[in-house]
Amino acid sequence: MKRQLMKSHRSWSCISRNKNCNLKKIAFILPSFIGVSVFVFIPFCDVIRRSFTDVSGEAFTGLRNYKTLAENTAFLLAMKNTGRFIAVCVPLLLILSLILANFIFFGKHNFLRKICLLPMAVPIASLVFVWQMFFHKYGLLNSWFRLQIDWIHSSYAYWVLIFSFLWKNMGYYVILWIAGLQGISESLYEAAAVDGAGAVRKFWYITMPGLMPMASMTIVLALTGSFKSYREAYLLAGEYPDKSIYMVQHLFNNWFREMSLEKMSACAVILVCIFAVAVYPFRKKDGV
Amino acid sequence: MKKILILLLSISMLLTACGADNSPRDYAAGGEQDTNVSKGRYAEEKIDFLQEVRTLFDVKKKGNGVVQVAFESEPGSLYFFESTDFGKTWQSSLEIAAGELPEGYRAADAVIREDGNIIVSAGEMSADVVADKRPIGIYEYYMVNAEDGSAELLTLALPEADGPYIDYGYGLRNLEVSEDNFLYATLEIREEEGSQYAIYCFDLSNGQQEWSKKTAQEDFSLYGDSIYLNESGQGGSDKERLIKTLDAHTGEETENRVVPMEIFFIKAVDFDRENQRMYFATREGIFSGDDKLSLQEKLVDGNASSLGEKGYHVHSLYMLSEKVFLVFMQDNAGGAMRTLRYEYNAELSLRPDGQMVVYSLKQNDVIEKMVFDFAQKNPDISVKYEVGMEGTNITSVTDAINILNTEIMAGNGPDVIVLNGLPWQSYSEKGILLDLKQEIDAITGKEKLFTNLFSPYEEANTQYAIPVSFKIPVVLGQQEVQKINSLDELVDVAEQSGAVIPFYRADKNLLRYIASVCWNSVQEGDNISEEGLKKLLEQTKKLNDCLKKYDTGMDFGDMGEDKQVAVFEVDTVLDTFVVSDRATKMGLNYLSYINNYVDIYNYNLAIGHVSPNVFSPLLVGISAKTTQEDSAKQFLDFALGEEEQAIFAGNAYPIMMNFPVNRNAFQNMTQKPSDADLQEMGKVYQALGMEYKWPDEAYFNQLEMMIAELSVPAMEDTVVIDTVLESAWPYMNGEKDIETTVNEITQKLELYFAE
Repeated sequence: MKRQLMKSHRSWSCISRNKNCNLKKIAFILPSFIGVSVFVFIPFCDVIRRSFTDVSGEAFTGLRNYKTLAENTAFLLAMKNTGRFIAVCVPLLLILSLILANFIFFGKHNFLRKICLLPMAVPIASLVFVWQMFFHKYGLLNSWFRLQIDWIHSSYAYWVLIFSFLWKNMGYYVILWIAGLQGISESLYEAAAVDGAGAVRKFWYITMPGLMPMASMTIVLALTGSFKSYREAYLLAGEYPDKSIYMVQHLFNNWFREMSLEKMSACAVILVCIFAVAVYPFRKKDGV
Repeated sequence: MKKILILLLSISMLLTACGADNSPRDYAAGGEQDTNVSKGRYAEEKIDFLQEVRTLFDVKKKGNGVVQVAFESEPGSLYFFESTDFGKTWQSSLEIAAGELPEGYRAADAVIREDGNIIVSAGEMSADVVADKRPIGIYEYYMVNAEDGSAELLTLALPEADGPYIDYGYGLRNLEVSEDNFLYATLEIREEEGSQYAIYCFDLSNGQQEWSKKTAQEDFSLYGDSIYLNESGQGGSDKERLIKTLDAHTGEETENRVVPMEIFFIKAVDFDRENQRMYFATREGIFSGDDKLSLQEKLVDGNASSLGEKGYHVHSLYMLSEKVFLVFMQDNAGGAMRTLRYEYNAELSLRPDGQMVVYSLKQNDVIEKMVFDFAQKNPDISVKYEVGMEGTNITSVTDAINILNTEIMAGNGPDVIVLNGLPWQSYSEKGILLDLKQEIDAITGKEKLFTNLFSPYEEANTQYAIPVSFKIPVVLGQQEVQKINSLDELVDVAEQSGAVIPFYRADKNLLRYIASVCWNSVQEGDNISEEGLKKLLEQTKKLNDCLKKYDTGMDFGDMGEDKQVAVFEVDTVLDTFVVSDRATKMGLNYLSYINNYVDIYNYNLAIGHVSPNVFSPLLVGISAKTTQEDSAKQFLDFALGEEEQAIFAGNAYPIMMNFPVNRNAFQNMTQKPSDADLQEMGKVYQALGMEYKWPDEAYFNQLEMMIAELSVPAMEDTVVIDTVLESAWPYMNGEKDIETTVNEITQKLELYFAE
């Protein structure tokens, strides 16, 4: 009986310790939660509401705004371009940065590791200025190769944008991958070497599985990063660039000028849905 | 647990603080009136001397509310007025029209002594019409007795004058006299490199020079034992003035200081030596501060008083007491001065209930003048004029529009909006603007308006945009331009221009002008006609090439990188003189000023049109979210009224070159001026040996008929203009072919229209 009482006391103190522990967690998360609620969740709820109303936010219009978007050629083009940009940029960025990270990590190129983040330190406006000098019709690239291509105001602009995005963001993802590589035990590589595994096999059977927990976060970051590449496109070619780099954010910018808040709201809801679906497979399960 | 409680407490306090901070904003945004209005404000009063003050010579404060003023009205006159009640009422004490000064002499300056007598510096009046009767020759100095007007000649020891001095007028100006009978004045010393000035000090008891000192500027003022020199040209920024202080007894520099004020003249500053206070007046208002102006207080708001009126600047300020100020405003166009008196009234409310905001994207003189006049006529309504592009963090039109949109959505937007440069069609579609159809119908019922100018903005019995003035794009030239009715015909004439510059127009402005005026042939609904665009660009390039052939190196006022539609900024001057001297074939611009039309008549020129039925209106709308709807409608009523539309007449506001939409106001503009005015207007013609005539009624009827036919507004969409300029300019310079240019523009504009 005494033992039972002791047991129940112990389990009760454990529950109460857990409660304390949970309260602590809640207390720590509360400020951030309040901030995100005030500045993101609550406004987004209003955005969802407005996507079903007119511009004043007062008259309910049903799905009219979504129908308008579905018929809007500018919106369809922007969605197509944004999707195409993400589809090309994210895999390229992840693969190239992974190769570079392996090269730096296993090649012990510490100097490269140090300069990796340098492009991120350059302000985007000055970076675009350099690209403009480089890619202008009368710029350095055409001058070196004696070309007459208008890189920025033609369909080449798409590749210019991809190049500038990769150049700017590569270093950051290299650092992320290196952080992942550091978490893989060296003894695994030593054991594989003893078993006679080559570099490719080590990469495939040790590095890749070891980086998997890191990969989901990196992919999500790459997705959001590529989605926010509007600044480069805007600074490079203005509010109405070549059709190939006309992104969803151009639409947002121009709709805001025209005060088309109802269209912006509907577009935002669609984008969030698409993004949620895209990110869902990469969510962390049980903290793993 | 304790830590958690502290954390939660901090968060709740933070939230409470945020809530407390937000409440007044919400309150204001809701448009509710603050019933607890503070009291105490300076009331303005306009002083009428019954004589126009053309040149103010001196104002003497004598204590106990006694103030004396010496000024000139017509050239050669000298008036002396006195007030014994702090400038409220004035009595004429002395009038010297052509009396005591020698025949044909005119006062260059005058100063009132402590005993009330006046020291006058005078020269012979120039007979040259262009010289405007200025005093020339070697000046003479008189002591005029304030009681009987008798004048006694003074002898002052000045350096010998030579030829150029005498032609221009050699003598003392900016006279100041001290309590101990010393005279201070500036003398202009003309040298080959330019003018230099020197301040002289004379002992009036013997006429001997005490000291002299060279200065860079002639603007100075005497306060007690100190001379304050306005050396703004030598240092400081636009918002600062470098004030040099000299010892009045020795002329030695005692202090140099940069003072944060934007005054034109040092006389716009006054000192209260007892309380160590400094006062100054600008168009922004009357300010007071310590003697370094490190802390400033706005006593009178320029926007809510006549100080802010367009076309005037502050000439001088006199603090008659702590509660009374006298301000003289100089007319920029050379008209009569305005005298304003400000007296503190503890019973007046600090600000009227509610405030109506009038907004324009860029500074607009017409609207600014209308706002000012409206505020003067309606002292109970507080009006504020806001310019979108004048914010400190605003670098582009898009920034300004985004800020405006945010304000409108937050319920803090302006009440009356000048729609030029704004996406107003989108605003009207989204219900952001008020439907003014009923309002316009009511105004049309009592005013005679050019209704054809209003109808292009009417759609499905609704009207969101109202034109308050307009301009007509024209080609000005010799009689042959009358045949020009299209862009093609303009190109033909330009290409045949021979040895003269084809037209008076800056090249980049040319592209903007043609795109704006001829756009109707390019756009059909939301579609761009590639053929139409190609033709427009090709023709514009031909015109541009014609202009390039005659690279005169002259600056035609190109807007450079500023790509915005400048219809209401700089594109107004129709230079009839340049075209009439036949060195330039044509003037390509906007006809917007009745005097220009009269000049066309006098120079025997003719008018052609690049595009039929095109005009560029100044559009106004009212926000649907306004909390000042009645005031806003009242403003619109006022702006379209015959009285206010008269601001476009005459010479008073040459910067506001627009035609009125009010037919009566227009007809009044065409009335023959008085003989004196005609003589004044014809001065330049006289100098050229020509006769200036006012046209007959039939000539003005032609213009009225031309106006009555206008029905298509010029294209003013900022996005379209910017796109055309950005993409087509390389084509104009031969850097890009026409196909690429047309494709680029079409693609961008298709996106714009598709959005």
